[in-house]
Amino acid sequence: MWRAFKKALLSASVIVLFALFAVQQRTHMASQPTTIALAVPTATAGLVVPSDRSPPQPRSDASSGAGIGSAAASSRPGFTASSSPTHTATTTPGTSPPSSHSTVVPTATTTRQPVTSSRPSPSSPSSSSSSSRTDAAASGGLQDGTYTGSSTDAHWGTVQVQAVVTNGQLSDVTFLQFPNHRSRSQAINQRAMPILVQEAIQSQRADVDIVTGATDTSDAFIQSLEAALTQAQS
Amino acid sequence: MIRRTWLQMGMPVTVCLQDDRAGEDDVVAVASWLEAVNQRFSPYLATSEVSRLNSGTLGLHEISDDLATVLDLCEQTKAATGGYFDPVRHGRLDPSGLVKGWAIERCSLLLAERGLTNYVVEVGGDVRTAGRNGDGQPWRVGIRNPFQRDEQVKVLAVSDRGVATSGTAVRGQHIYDPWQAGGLSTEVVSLTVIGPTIYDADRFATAAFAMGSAGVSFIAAHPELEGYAITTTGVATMTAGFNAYVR
Repeated sequence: MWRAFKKALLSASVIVLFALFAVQQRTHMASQPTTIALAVPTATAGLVVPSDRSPPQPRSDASSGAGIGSAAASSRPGFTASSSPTHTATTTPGTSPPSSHSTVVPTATTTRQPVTSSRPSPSSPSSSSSSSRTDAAASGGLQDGTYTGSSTDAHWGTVQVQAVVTNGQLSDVTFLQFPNHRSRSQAINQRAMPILVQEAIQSQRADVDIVTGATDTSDAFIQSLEAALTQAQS
Repeated sequence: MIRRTWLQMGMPVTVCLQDDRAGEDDVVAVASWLEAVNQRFSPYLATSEVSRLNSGTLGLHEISDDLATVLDLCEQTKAATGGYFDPVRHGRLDPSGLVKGWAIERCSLLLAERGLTNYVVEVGGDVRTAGRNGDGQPWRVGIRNPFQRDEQVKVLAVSDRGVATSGTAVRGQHIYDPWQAGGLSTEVVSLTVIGPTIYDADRFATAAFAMGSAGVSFIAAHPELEGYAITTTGVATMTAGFNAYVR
């Protein structure tokens, strides 16, 4: 009985969330969303609401680098919302910026400044999910991590919603949209619901063979360098 | 181990050759190939095929096989990334975002053809590894801290993979965004992609970085790619299988 009620509540909150961000995306050019007309999508929200399953388990023990993205979907529902729909419905418009491409992360487990701490050994990246599992169970039943709902067709295009759970609470919902849904369907297995893990970066001078990083050169620098070398050769 | 670093195509190039049979001629072979790539593809050389194609002095029917191949790959990549990778920039053809990874992958094939199985080729922060290092372990690849360039935020153990990082040049300043709660921009400043080849890692890192915070989700959706994105606030988001590479 409670499960059915909880399921209905989850469905309602998910649809509210979806609708909120559906409308926000349509008016994304405006500075702030003001009045929000709840447009119920024609299809279901596309975020799989669990029936009688336990909350999803974020993957913290990936055994191989390749080929696991879609395999993760089989034993896990796509998305759960917290049991308090008012909480989720009111936080997101206030904290989310008009642009749908950014994520606001609460300060509890992350830092606002870039972290440059020296440690003898690298950090364990899965700590954000494994260490807070008991917290999540106590607070709202959500496991920390980032969840991406399966794609669904809304009447203006294909949409996909990504939810971030931090400290067991829904901390942000990001509205993903791709400019060309036909290309996106080529590139993305629509049955896959990729899991993302967040952490604060930790820095050190490590013992490495080689370093990967963005090149610290602007186009202008390259151009002037090439010109200088060309002159030097002549 | 033979280790050499030099400047080419405006970027630092590093080659580590672990095999006993490796020699200086293998280093020269890599440098020669990269010079040929530079001469053919550089948008900064007026004499390159790309520049002459753009200026109209070279017709599409006259281009080399390599350029034709690259243009094909550009179209495939544009389709696979929903247009987020586009070889046309500022009204001109500039396939550089794909050429880099493609050229480094060709370096790796070149060394393999010369009989080597344990090596690293790195060009401008894009890394291609094969086999193992001098300790018999997968090559240790550090991800540069975008806020502290002499430090690393991760150490990866990588064998027979490509690792590419796209990002902005961060000078230690925080980016103010008035629309963000707290005022700090949470834009992605660095996105590292691990792929089966440096060709794949590079082109998808380039495209995914252009997608902003949605980019790492794009990487996550591809079964053969793993990614690690860092925002201006020092928060990182990684794909599910990324941790398997971390040491």
